[in-house]
Amino acid sequence: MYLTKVWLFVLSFALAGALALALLVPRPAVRELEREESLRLGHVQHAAQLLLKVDARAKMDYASHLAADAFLAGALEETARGASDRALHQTALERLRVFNERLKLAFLVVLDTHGRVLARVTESGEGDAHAYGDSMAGFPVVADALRGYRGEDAFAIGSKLYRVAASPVVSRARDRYVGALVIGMEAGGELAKRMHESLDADVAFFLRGRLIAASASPPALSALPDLLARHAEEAQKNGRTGALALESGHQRFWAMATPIAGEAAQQDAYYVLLLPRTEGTGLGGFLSATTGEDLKSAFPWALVAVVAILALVSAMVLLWYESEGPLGRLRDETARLAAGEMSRIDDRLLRGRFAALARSINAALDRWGRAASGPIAVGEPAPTRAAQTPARERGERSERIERIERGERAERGERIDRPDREPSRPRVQAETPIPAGFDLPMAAGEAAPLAAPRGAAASSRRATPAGGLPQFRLDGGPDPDLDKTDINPPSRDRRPAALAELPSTLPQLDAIPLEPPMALPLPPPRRDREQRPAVGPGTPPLGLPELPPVPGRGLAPPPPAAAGGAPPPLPEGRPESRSAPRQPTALGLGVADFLGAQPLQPSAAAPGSGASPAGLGGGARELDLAATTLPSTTRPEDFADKTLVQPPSNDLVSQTVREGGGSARELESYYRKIYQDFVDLKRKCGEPTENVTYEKFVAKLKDNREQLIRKFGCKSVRFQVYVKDGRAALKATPVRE
Amino acid sequence: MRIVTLLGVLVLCAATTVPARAAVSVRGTVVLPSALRAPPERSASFWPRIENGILPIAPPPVSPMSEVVVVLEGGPTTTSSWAGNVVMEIVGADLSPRVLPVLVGTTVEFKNTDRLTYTLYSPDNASFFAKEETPPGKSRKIKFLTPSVVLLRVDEFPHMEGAILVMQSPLYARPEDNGHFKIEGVSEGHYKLRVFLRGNLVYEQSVDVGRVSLEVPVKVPAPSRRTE
Repeated sequence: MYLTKVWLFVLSFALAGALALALLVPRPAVRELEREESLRLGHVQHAAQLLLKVDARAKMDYASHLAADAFLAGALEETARGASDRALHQTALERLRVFNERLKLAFLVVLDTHGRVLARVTESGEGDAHAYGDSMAGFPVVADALRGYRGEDAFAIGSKLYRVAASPVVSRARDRYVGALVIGMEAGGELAKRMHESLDADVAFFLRGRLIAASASPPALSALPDLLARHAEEAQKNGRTGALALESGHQRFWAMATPIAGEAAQQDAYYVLLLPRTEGTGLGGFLSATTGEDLKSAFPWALVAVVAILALVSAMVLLWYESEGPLGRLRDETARLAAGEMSRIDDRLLRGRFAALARSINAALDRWGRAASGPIAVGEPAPTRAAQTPARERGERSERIERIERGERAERGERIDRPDREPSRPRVQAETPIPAGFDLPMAAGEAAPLAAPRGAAASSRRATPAGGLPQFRLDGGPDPDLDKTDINPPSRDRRPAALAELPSTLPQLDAIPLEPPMALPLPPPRRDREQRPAVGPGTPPLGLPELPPVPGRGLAPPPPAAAGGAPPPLPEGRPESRSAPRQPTALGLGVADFLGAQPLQPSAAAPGSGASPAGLGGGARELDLAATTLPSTTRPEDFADKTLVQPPSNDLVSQTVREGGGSARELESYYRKIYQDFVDLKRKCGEPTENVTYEKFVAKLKDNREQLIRKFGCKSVRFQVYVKDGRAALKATPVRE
Repeated sequence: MRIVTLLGVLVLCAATTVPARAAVSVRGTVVLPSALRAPPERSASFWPRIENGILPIAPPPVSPMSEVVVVLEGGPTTTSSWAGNVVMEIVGADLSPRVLPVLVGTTVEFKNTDRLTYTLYSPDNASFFAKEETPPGKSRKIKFLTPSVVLLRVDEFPHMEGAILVMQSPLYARPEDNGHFKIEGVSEGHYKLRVFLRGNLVYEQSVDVGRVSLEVPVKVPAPSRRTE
């Protein structure tokens, strides 16, 4: 799951990154949008300035044009000569009315040389009689006009803002200045509307902090005076403010204030341009602003789909690679294990935790097998077979082994008929006695009683690769661990076929207190079980008849049915059926699995060979294990049937001979291979390998090999490396042939 | 006794016949740089003022010399006061006169003869000369008791500027349009001649006045920046 976790981690990061990007990406966009809008507002302000400038020049030209009017010039000339001002006033007034009917100016004023009002008309065309005689000389634009300058200005009078233009009035003789003409336009709503039409932006005029006119009246304008007060210095210094964010309720604007050129600038007169701010700030704003067209036109859906599919496929692949695949393999392996097709799960096919799980299962199997007693299980590990009997203590096991040794000679060759069962593989469970000085850290866990001399080698369809050899354990370092000897649980695949030697041990084993590792579901008892004789030497405690000796390597022909009406034994030779049905246990394992897990249950069949369990002697035997292999929770009558012992298959024999009995060179190569496998397995299990030297290892192997050969009279010994309780161990299996 | 009386009379006569310090006049000509002769630059508008192209530009109606005050300070007897009234008229969006020199104790009446309301104030001394509206036809009187220069501004029209020069010395004069000035009755002594333009000190010179009239040329240097 490492890669899957990494992938999920990557996906989580990618998701978080995508979310962060989704939240972050709008910000630069919003910033850019605001910058663009600010720039646009600046451009609008520039356009407004140009508009006002052009308008001011136009007003200057108007004023100059009107000042050139002969009627006005004549009237002013007369005024300058001291003529009747009232008559001249009326003359000038009428003339101004004519002008203003067309111009619609806020005011038109004619001044004499002293700056006093000769005539004045307003936008309505009404004359302002009260203004007659008023002085406007104090206004700079007027003073300049009286001197001969044409100019324009803007100033406020009262609460109104005026843009004015003035021009000198030259006498008709063009020899002197006779006065000035001033025109004024109010900067109010009309101007704001015209600017709005030209600029596509709202315009508002402010004077001394008060709104005097605007093209629109959004509520946001009420917040502008404070904003202007805060940015007055900036406006005076830079000629305008920056883009000011203005919000009022749901209305959001950009505002830019510009002082109105002229004296009005010192009167806190501004015109403010307003542009609505674009919605869509933030992710929510962008999403709300997204339309269907955005998703239709040139949106890279294919890219999105490809990325999603790639992510999904990657996740699926990683899940399959790390979880589904190993899980399926583990499931298959456990199914095969449950079906009895194998004795151990090959953890090499698995990875990671599944491999650890497989190793744990294997270790559990080993432990159960080790904990079980060492009954001799003969025959097919069918559901009706006796359950394994655990041994609680090693001393008990050793005792049983000694009894087996004492009785093996006497009981060798006996045949146990199980007429009620089909011929099955011979199963022999025994414990290899630990010879003195057997200091190699090998456990004779699965060492078989070595039925090889009579051809009763163990065989099994579910044999491990090096089946049929006693198992030893190399527990790590050479120094304390190497001297420890442990009894490994036997592999049910290493079932010895020396059934002829084992029956004599059955009575003895029967006396051993047995403790099954667990309650096994057993088939209902058979009626003939109570009538089935026990198997044992001499006077067996269970009353089993003494088995006849087995001649040669082959098994003796099946004797007549044992007492109790047992079915007749199968004829000598291979069983007709190699795969007896198994009764699954609560763990999904057959009873035979537990039987096969008994210690000292050698098997010589190569994995996958399909060889039926049979003794090397070729003779099928029956062995009643009802009294010997029953756990305490089972009843003897459940296993009253007999087990047929068959000779091993030819391929098993040939493989055993080939692997176990080579020349010295082959033996050396074989030791090196075992050593290499052992070291590799120790490394795989995380154990130190520094102290495991080849020379010492081989010496131990040879020593133990000789001891086993001497003890069991076998021809060779086969070693197998395996994992026990998470540690590397070694099995030794005597090979008769 | 007669001798004593005679001596006393002689001493008294001698004392009374000692000539007093001569009261001479200080004359001079104020020369303003061109930058100060022009009227104050008005607020920048969209367009600068443009000559009409028909006639040359006429001189300003109000001479810049009308905004100049020459004052002699120091000397033996320059402290004086006057409890009279002086009028400064507000008309035509302008102050007339724009600069008004007064002695300590003088009351200035700001009289609004226009049809607009003006709010006159002093930006330098808002507590003393606060903003106060002066409706048309109304006056606002303020008595100046401390020698100082009080700048005047009108809230409605920023271009309206004026100054009140409150002085202890009666030795001051307002130059003519050509810059000539004459201060009469100046006693012998050491003085400082100061020139104010629109209320701003633009020139200062030490003057030793003797028994004869003194001609003092006053050449105001060009300001480094715009004069208020």
